[in-house]
Amino acid sequence: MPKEERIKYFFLLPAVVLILSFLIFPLVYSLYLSITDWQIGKAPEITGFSNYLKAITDKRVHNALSFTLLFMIFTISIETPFALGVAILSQSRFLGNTIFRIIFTAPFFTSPIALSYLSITIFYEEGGPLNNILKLLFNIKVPWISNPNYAFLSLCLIDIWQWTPFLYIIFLAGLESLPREPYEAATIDGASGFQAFRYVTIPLLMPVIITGVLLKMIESLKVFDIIYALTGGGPGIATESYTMYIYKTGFRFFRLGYAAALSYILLIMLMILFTFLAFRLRRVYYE
Amino acid sequence: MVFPMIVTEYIFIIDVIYGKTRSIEEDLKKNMVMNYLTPPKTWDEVKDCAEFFNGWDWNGDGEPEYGLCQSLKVGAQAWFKYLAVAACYSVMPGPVVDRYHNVFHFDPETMEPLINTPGPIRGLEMLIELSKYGPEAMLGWDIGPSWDFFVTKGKAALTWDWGDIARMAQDPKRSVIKGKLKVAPLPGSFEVWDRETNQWKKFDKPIRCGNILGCDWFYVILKHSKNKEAAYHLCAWLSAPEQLFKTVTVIWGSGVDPGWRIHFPPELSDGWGTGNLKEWITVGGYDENDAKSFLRAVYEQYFKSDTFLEYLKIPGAPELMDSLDVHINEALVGKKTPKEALDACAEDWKRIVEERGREQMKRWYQESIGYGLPIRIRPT
Repeated sequence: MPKEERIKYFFLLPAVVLILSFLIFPLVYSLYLSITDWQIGKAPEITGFSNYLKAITDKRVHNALSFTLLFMIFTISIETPFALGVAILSQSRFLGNTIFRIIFTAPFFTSPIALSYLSITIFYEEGGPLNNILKLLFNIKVPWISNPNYAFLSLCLIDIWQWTPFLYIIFLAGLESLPREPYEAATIDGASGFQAFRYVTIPLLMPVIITGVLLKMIESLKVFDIIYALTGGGPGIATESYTMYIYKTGFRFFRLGYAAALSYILLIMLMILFTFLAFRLRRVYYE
Repeated sequence: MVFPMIVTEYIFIIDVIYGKTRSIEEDLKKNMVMNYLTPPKTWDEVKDCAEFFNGWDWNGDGEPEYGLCQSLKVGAQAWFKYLAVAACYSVMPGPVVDRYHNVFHFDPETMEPLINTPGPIRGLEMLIELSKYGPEAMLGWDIGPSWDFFVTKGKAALTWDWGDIARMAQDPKRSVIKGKLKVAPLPGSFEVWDRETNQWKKFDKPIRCGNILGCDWFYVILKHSKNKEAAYHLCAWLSAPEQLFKTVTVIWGSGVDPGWRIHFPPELSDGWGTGNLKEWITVGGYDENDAKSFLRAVYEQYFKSDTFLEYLKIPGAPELMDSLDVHINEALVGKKTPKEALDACAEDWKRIVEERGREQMKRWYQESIGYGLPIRIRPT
């Protein structure tokens, strides 16, 4: 092979090394770990699919999955219409629109763990700003972290605060790229604003909406940082997410084999979800 | 590290001058305050004390205060705080570590969990009772907010916590309780569950279980360290009496409690110590009364206890303690009764022991508790 042709492999080498080191090797090695019973201080022994079978009967896995799915459904149900509404409003030219966009999207560009630790202050029950305002207005004190139901709500509020801007950016970009002609045609046909929104905007924007929702679903299924900082998975295990349980299993209990198996189960769930939604997206797009 | 209990004392004269009571009931309570400021000897007395101080303004700031505060967040240090309460109901004193004496976590002969025996259950019942006299928020507090509530805000009458509180209380910039501390060893119980006879054994005096959870700070030099000798010399220097004294006394600092003879003045340690109280005041910046109270409490915790509770030092301990942490938190928030919570914990412990190998775990456990050896709780 001429030297000029060989040089291209040299330029590909860093990317190949990175992918092998940080993607392929961990993927393969954790698959191996998932079929062992490796714990720190003990040599790994291959045990087949026992870790996977154990996960099926592990009550804490059921609890973590239930919480994670509920969290995902609740947050996306609020974030999607909220982000879409703000994106539509933000399309119109009003004074301060640019400043509004910057402020509204700022939480998304903040480190999640920083936001989470800030939320400890916000939700501080004995004199935090939120409870101070509620006490002033309604004379109530809400147990944001010490009560299981309110702890769930607190986590959802932080997630909505942080991830609505993400969906907003995607939806806004989608809205800005929509063609004008269908709207003009709808206006000529006498469609109201709501009818134009329902019969023109939504169908045209659907691929973007599905993409945004899909990305957010994947993110929700991996939620960890806000739970780690704010509630630690408590009270009890009321707010313990699936990834939180994986973290504890691997890095607190040092059951690396079982943690690897749980991670693979999450990977499989995400792949199924992504495949289903991508298939749906394709159908919507081509319709 | 030790685990003394700390009670605040406020200067009552100031309260009377300002006249900040809001009712006759509060007025009457202020006159009774002195009755409740003797360090409690049992957890029932702690409950009485916390109940008395809960829900009224005893420091004249215009807001009601709480009886106690604590850090009970899951995944933090709540399980330490539970063990501090439960130990005195569960660990039967005796001269030797045998099957029925001086053990808490497991039966050393069978590795059956003991966490759901009546002693620990009563401990959890007591913790739930006590939690009623503090802010509800403490179910979500790690030690930071709890320390802040006690030391910086002075909003709770008592707490039980690491010796760090005595140090933090001396910080003139942040503490509102400097000079107002009363410190005591952990309270005990007149009754301890006797597994040998399967009934509660009554004693004439409270049986105290000295708590040495966390009592083991030590230096580690990694085998891959480039400069092992230099690291060793640094550790040796830090362990020299002068440096160690600073480590022990520094405010908001190391987390290391007094433990050497040179830390304890002889007058506060029945003649055992060789330290100097004046150094605690001049070098450490302690208030004299706080220092006296703290050092005496530490000494009594080490050497006047009837038995001890130690860390669980076997493989799988993090998972075992996480299970305990989660289940006691479920009981604290009312999701389970104490018995249900500890039964669930015991089931988890059985499973963990089986998964790791019962016989091997038994050997490790027996070794870790010094099974068969006499316990030594007097100064040498």
